[in-house]
Parts: sequence; C-alpha cells; structure tokens
Amino acid sequence: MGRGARNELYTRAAAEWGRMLDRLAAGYESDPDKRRDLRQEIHLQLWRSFEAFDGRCSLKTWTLRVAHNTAASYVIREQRVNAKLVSFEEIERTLESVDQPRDIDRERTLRDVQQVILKLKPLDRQIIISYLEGLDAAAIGDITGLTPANIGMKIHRIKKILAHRIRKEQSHA
Amino acid sequence: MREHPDFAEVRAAWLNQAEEEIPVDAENIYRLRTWELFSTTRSEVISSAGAALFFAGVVAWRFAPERDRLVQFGCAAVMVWAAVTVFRFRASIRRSPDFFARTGLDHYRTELLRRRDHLRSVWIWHGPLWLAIILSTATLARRIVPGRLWDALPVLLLLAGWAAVGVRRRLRQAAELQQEIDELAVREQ
Repeated sequence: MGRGARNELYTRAAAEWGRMLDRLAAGYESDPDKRRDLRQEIHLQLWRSFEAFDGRCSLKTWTLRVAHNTAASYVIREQRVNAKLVSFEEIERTLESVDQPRDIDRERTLRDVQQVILKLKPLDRQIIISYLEGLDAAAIGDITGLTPANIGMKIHRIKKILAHRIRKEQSHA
Repeated sequence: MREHPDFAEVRAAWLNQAEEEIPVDAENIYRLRTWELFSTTRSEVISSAGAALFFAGVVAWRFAPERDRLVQFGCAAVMVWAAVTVFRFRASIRRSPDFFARTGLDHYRTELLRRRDHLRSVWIWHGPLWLAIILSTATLARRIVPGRLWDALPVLLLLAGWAAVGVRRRLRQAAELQQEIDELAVREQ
C-alpha cells in the first residue's frame, strides 16, 4: 500500500476513533506523561500497520486490535518494574458484601474503574475497555479472538466486580 | 443484555473522561520510529554486550603487550560472541507492519512466548560477560606476580555472583510466563 493511501487510512481512523484511543490509553497507563507516550506509540503503530491493511476485518476492528496490542506489549514491558497483574477471577474471589450507596459521584466512579482496569492482565483489559466503549460480544470477539461465550462470562464478572467496587468505595465516602 | 443502573453510570463515567489536552502530533509520530530502538530489552542486551566488551578491552589493554595467546584469543572470542549476540538480537526484533493487527489472544501469546524465549536464552546474552570473567581469572591465575589473583578475586566473585543471581531471576520469570501461557491455552478451550 502506498504512503498516500496509508496516510489516508490513518487520518480517517484517528478522526473517527481518536477519542476512543485516548480512553484506551488511559486504561493501560495512569501516569499522564507516560500515557501521552503510549498514545503516541499507539498512533505510530497504527500508522505503520496500515501498510499491511488488507480488509481482512473492518477498519474499526483493525484500529482497535492494533491499539490494544500495542498497549498490551507496553504492559508486558512495564510489568517487569510494576506490581503483578491479576485476572477477573482473582479479583472476584476477594469481593465482600457491601450496601448500596445513595448516589454515585462520576469522577470517583471513573477513578475506581481505572484502578480496577489497571490491575488486570492485558486480555481482560481488552474485554472491559471494549465493553465500556459499548462494543457487543461479537465485536469484542473479533478484537480479542475469544469466543462469545467466554466473553459473555467475562462481562458478567466485570459488571459484578465494578458494581461491587463502586459500592464499596462510595459507601466509605 | 439488560444494563444494571450502576453499570450505566460506570459506562457514562468512562465515556465522559476529560479529553487529552495535547493533540496527537502526526509529524512527531513519524519521528517516533527512532524511539523504537530504545526499549528496555534492547538496552538490556546492549548494556550486557557493552559490559563484556569493556571488560575484554581492559584485559586486552593490560595484558596484550605480553602477547599471551590466552588473552588474545580470549578477547577475540568475547568480541565475536558479543557481536553475534547483537546481530542475532537485531534480527529477532524486526516486526512486520501487521504485527499488532492480530487478535488480542494471538498477540498476547506471541509476546509472552517471545519474552519467555528471551529470558531462557539468557546464557547467550550474558555469555560474553561470563567468558570475559573466566578469561581474566585464567589470565591472572597464570601470572607469576604473587598476590595479583587475590587482589582481583573480590571483583571477580562479585561479577560472577551478580551474573548468577541474574540468571536465576530470569529463569524464574520465564517459568512464571510459561504458567501464564499454559493458562491462555485453557482459556481458548
């Protein structure tokens, strides 16, 4: 693919899903400076990847695969200096029962969600971020390569974990 | 799938995150390619090979005028090994443009395998350093000057210990990665 066509695809992807990519980067890195670097790296790999874009999947799926995989590679690199990552199942085992809070503060909710996401292994992060972005199980399956049944089960766990976490944090507030 | 009210709030909070203040600079993205050369793994290998070359250089500088064959051939072996290591590593990091366009599962498994293999082949990356330590020990042991080996022994032991601890740590990390790779296989079923 020529440079012009590649640039055109990149420009289109960045314009349509740029905000989604920014949020995605926030799910992989909490430090603002490092997050900006990760964001640049995602865009770089996206631009490079369009040289090989052959329509094997939709432009959106391609864009999200490249973005998630670039971020996953980043997490694997960073994991050597950071804390151990966990799976949904490991978090679920630590849940205790808490009461429902009266109201929900959105900023605090976002912080709680990010804290949960940043602890997860890359594949689980891909599922939760995609689900938060409103993608259905089939679309998440195209990105992750997992079966819809597997994804459905994971989503169920995500909802349980997040709802519990938010209730717990906000009942303490 | 019916949405729990709590989760609708969670999604709303996620989607309404504050925008990044600095826009993505497309020109900078093209320049960023250069930064790809500076990943941790690469600097790890380069520093390991660099340390060995430095070590061999010092030994050669100190003992080469005496035309000792062990020193000459030993230093040459260290340098060749280090050069082959860097060349081999350079070849292994070349990525096709669609490297990141695979499914998440494929990509994650490939990355874990790559990292595991890198850790398992630690003897290749650390080989030049080990060889340099053995070479300098052997050279010093053959010297007639009394006390020379004893003077250098603490440094040699420290280097050998550091390398041994490094190898052990990496092999443990490789075993952890293998466990995660096995878990991925279960997840696929």
